[in-house]
Amino acid sequence: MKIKRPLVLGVAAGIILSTVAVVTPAFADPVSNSYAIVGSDTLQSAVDALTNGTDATGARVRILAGSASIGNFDAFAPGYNVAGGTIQTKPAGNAFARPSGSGAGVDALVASINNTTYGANGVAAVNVGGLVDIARSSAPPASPKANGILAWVPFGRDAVAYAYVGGSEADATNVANLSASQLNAIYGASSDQVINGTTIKAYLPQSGSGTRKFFLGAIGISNNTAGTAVYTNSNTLAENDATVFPTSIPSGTAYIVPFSAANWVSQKNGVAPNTIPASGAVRLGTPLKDGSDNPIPAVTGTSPLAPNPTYYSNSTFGRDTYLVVEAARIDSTNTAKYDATLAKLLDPSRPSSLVNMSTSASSAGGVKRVYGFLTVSDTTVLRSDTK
Amino acid sequence: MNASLRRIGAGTLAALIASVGFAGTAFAATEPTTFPSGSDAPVYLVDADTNTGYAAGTQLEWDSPLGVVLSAVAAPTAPTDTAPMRLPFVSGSLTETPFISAPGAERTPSSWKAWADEVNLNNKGAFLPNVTPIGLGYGSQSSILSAGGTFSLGVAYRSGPTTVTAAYFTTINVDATTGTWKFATPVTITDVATTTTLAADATSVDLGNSVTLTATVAASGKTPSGNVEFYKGATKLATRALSSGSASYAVTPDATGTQTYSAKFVENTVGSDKFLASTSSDLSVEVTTPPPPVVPNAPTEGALNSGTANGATASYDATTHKVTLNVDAANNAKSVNVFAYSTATFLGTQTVTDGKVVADASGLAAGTHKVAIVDPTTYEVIAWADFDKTDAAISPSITKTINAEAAAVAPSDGEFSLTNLSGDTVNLTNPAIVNGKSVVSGTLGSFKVTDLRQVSKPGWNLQTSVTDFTKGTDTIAASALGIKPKAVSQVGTDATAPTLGDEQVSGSASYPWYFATLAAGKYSGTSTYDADLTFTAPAGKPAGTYTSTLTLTLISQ
Repeated sequence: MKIKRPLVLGVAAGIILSTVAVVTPAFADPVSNSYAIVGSDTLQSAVDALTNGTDATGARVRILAGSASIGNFDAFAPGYNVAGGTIQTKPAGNAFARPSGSGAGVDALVASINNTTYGANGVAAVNVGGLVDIARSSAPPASPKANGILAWVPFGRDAVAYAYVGGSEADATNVANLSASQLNAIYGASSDQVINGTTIKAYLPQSGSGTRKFFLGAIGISNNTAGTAVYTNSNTLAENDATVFPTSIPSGTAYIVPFSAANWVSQKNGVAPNTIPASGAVRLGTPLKDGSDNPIPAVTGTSPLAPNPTYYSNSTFGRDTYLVVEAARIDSTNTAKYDATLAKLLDPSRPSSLVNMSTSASSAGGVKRVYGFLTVSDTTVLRSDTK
Repeated sequence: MNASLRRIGAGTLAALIASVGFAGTAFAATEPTTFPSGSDAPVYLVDADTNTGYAAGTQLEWDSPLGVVLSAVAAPTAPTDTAPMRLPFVSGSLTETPFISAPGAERTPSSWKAWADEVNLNNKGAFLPNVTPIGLGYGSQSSILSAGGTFSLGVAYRSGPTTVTAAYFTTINVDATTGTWKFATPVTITDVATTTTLAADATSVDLGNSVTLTATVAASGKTPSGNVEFYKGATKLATRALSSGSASYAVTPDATGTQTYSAKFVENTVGSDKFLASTSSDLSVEVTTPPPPVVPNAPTEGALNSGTANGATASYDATTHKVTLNVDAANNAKSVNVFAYSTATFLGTQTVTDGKVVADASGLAAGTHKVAIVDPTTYEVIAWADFDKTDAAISPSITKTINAEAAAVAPSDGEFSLTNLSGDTVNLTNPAIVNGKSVVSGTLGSFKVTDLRQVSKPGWNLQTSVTDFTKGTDTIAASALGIKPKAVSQVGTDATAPTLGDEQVSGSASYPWYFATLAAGKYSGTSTYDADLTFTAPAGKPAGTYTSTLTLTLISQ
């Protein structure tokens, strides 16, 4: 669940927020009555809707584990747009550091499987054995390994573009269609780049963000390491959040940040907490052009907004997203660990599973399409031992 | 522990109660044959994946892989336009909740067996609400699965916590334990066109005579049933029911001239056929004034002389008021006019048979008369004779029998019966250990008492007997079964709710015992009951399945 309050703690925009050691949120997520899901911000709104129940398609859809409700824990505490704080996922379990992105979610899942400790964002490590069942990931495993302990079940296809805002209409135009190579120069730079007289301020989400890793990889920057001119708010910047930009942009400058197209669609469609200002000043850019040099937008339509299959099918900027689980628990031949209820939640043929991509209004897939996801390009379940 | 209900005969229910162990599939899920009339609209079951309809007779699983949602229309193929599948909206409804209940308890949320989230309708009918049974997470699914049985599955609209504004549901039969189930499908009504033709047994008739109109209603491949209205012009004359596709009506026209008749078949739905209305073309009947009867000329009395008597003799029968003229057999088969004298009176045209002519003389005064037979064309007297009439002239009269029906205005006694609404077997499973003893509980399953004896009002007792529980050679006394009666519903104006018996406590129960009683001087209408059952096994008894028989007998006082 993401409840947004702008500028919490009375801090003015643009000033670096110091890391808070232990944050006690004003609202506590309830514990799960069955499984606990943590990880990526990109998938959290769609999974929030599915697990809490939603009318996004016009039909009521709620995904349950048998008859029990499922606990989905957002990447950031309700009301916050920085990583931090703790969550308690199971009735008798420890409170532990809230995993704040794809990588953190998989790390916590591995610790849960191995009955070891997990800590992050200044929160001390505690044992999390059995406290995490599924991790949301907006990126595939970095080190795939056959028969690894983790199974990566495709969730839906997203695409990554970038959000931008200009100090003037001319500034906005100058950054509306930055190519991959231009983005490569901007995000590898040690000083702000200038294009046609517009100074570009490049923002980047924190290093655990799957959206950030994918974006940097797509524009040809390796090792998830950006240039020193890039702003990350001391590696705490939230992903898919248009409020990270300053509210007042000086003329002659423009700000950009990578943004999930699915998140853009669901926020604009009003089915996820909307961070995009109503003024229309913040827009979604595109690095892609067709054979006639026309920009290919990431999204189409006005109300409702829909993903653009042409952009999504691009092999560089389109990406399959995943739900990660312990492989043994969804393997029916593993008599010791097989969990039939968990396996059903990860069976795409069932309209009541989290990974379904049917089109009907009464299916999980129908809900996910309103949240900006399309069918994955490859339904193969990947394996790995780590994120 | 398992318990079962087995129907013995009219007016009684028998229950077989067993105990700890595995419950067999006691209720075999057959397809319910009738869509419940209590649902506010027909609903069809379609899958949640592609919204394809589940064919009638499909056996579904408790956790159906493709899910089960409700639709307002049958969906034989995956439809491209899903809008018609939205259920109706009822003004004032705020929320909708998927539920399973006992039949008859759909509008009593406190009695639902299991249900799902209550969600806002936002002033629109529910769209594809999900009723997959495993998803009904509130309440108790085990109360359904333990014994199986017949239930209602659907959604209820509410305007407040206990106020149901609409309920859309179907009847399902659920197998115990496995939870496989079958559902009732609404009857699809198809229009059947009809043609009506009208015929008459005469198209020209004298005023005062009747015409029989026959209407025939036909449909392709089917025989329509229903009513036909007969019209003269725009005036409805009569309504008659079709028999084998036709109906007749005899009409006596009351005026001369051209009378125009027609017949209209009234639209009628029989099962899944809706026979549409049709009207015959007009039928004309000419009604004419009959010519006045012609009285033939008579010969003068002087023509009756010795030369024309020709040996005839006459006799008069005062009982039949007829005069018989005996004539020469040579006259047989002649058609003759018969006259009486002195005042020449025409008695009619007759045919001579066996040397006789018989005529009605009742209108003649007492006294001596002559009777003669005359050739109709030549007016020649063929034969004549004298006769004496002793009785006076009889005034013409006709008699009619009147049968008048009187409707019964005094009320009469109605039905008195006991009906099982749930399975024949009650399974009490999953015992717990409480204070060192095995305790298991469950519900009996609903049943209905119908007492419509609104005149005699003798009252009744619902006697309950329980046999001892046995498993092989081990026995547990019937006193181990606790029963707490529950009233589920009570219907009937002027009816009185019966008094429930005091709870029988497990361990100290005593049978036979009255589940419910109704004092004399009252009648109870339609009452539905259920009961909470508790079975405590005494210490030292081996674990396993114990069997008993519970019998409910409705006894009039």
